[in-house]
Amino acid sequence: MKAAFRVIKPGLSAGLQDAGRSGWKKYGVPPSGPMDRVSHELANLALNNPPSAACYECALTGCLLECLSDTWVCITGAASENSSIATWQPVKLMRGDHLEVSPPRRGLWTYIAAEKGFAGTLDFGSCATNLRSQLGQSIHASQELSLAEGDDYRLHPQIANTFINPAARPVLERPQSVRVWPGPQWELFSRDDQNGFFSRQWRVSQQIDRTGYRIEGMPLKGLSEEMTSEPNRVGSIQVPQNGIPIVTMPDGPTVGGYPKIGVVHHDDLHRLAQTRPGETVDFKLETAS
Amino acid sequence: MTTGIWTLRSYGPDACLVNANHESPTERQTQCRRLSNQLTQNPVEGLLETTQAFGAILLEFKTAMTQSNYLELKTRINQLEEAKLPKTQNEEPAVIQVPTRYNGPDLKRVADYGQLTPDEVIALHSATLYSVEALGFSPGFPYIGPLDSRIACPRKKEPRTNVPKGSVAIGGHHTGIYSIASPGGWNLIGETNLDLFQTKDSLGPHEEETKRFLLSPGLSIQFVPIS
Repeated sequence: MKAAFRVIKPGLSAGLQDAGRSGWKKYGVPPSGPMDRVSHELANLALNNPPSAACYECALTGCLLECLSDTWVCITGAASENSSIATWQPVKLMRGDHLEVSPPRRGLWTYIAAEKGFAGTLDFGSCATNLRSQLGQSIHASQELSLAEGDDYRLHPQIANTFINPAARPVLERPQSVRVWPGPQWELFSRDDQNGFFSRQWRVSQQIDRTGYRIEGMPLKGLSEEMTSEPNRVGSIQVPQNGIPIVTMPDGPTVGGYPKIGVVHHDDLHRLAQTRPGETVDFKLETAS
Repeated sequence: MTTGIWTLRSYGPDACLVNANHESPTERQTQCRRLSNQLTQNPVEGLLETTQAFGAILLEFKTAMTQSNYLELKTRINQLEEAKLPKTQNEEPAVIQVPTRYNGPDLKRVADYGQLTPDEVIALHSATLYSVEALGFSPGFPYIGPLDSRIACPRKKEPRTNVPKGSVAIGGHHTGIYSIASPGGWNLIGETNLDLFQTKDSLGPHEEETKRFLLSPGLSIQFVPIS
């Protein structure tokens, strides 16, 4: 396969992300996949890629790639308008062009889709980079990246005039409101904790990565008794003894030993993911209708 | 919802956690393996992922679970309870022997904690026929139990930044084997050459990727001291 990009500055937590790995959690393999699946999918749709095609993902710092063969790309997610090309719309790069994503002012995770999608080392059917589990494509400076074959691929006829409707883009304004379902241990938490979790103001802490987000605020009391570990899922909100909640993210552990007060609504997880350390989050209780 | 030996708890609209209630951990494991095998071979509609760990099964669906998903699940569970299901092939767990060199840097710490000698720790650790209660932490990393409470030992306050692959360790009330080199806080008591998680390159051209894992939940484990 011919290389399409060379990584010059990978950026923080850089990796490729496709739809991730499903069906392997029982072996301790986390699902992985994009932190902001909405931005990821929109980037692909703008290029007429399959929605789950692999995109380049990085956080906070931006990144610098060198284009090695002519290709269309689309930048979405957290991305500064000062980047070398326009964001939220397809742009044609020529061989030798530098693709520079400047550090975003809002949000954390940036996505770069390329024509047909990136290709990478597959583990369990997915090239999704998981540093902690050492799976998928590894990314480092000077790494060359290829694109998928995509024999049936067709560009949009009007690609040069395509752009992603601002109304469809994830809202990165603050404060972020995140819906939460009751978790399996919800009923074991005190009334004070149940109310407190949804009335207190929480901030995303500095301790965040693709495995989990710690959420700071006035600590919950939590449960005094230790519980048996049990299967864990993406979005679950575990409350360790110190009362500081941790939200499991796509590379997070497949089993967990802390009680779970709630589970973040699938459609809101990407907005929590885009919330920066120090920014506030309001959790809203969702119950079955 | 509790149906005799099983409890179903909601875990978001698109998932539920099924717990076996039997008092014996071994029996819980067996029940879970049977239900898990049954659901893997003949999935409930919309079921995306079945994760068995620590005597519980997490069922994750593509979309919100419907009333009929719940009813179907209840029927399956009732069938299991009434033992109407044919026994599956893997009913009797295979025993995996783990040749272990007990030379770990924390062997003395575990011994001191339990007021034992290192030799007593080795004798106790290798005396039990264990079962794999879950795989987690890293791909293929087994949580093995039940551990004799005399050799249970809390995790280290300062985790090591790099624990070698193949390290045999004790963390709280479990023993485990590091399946890849990674940071880790468990007490290292020994090492094994057994490969718990193979690289993809070591597979044959048509082998399925499940073959990369030596262990799966419910298998039996025996540690065998070697020098």
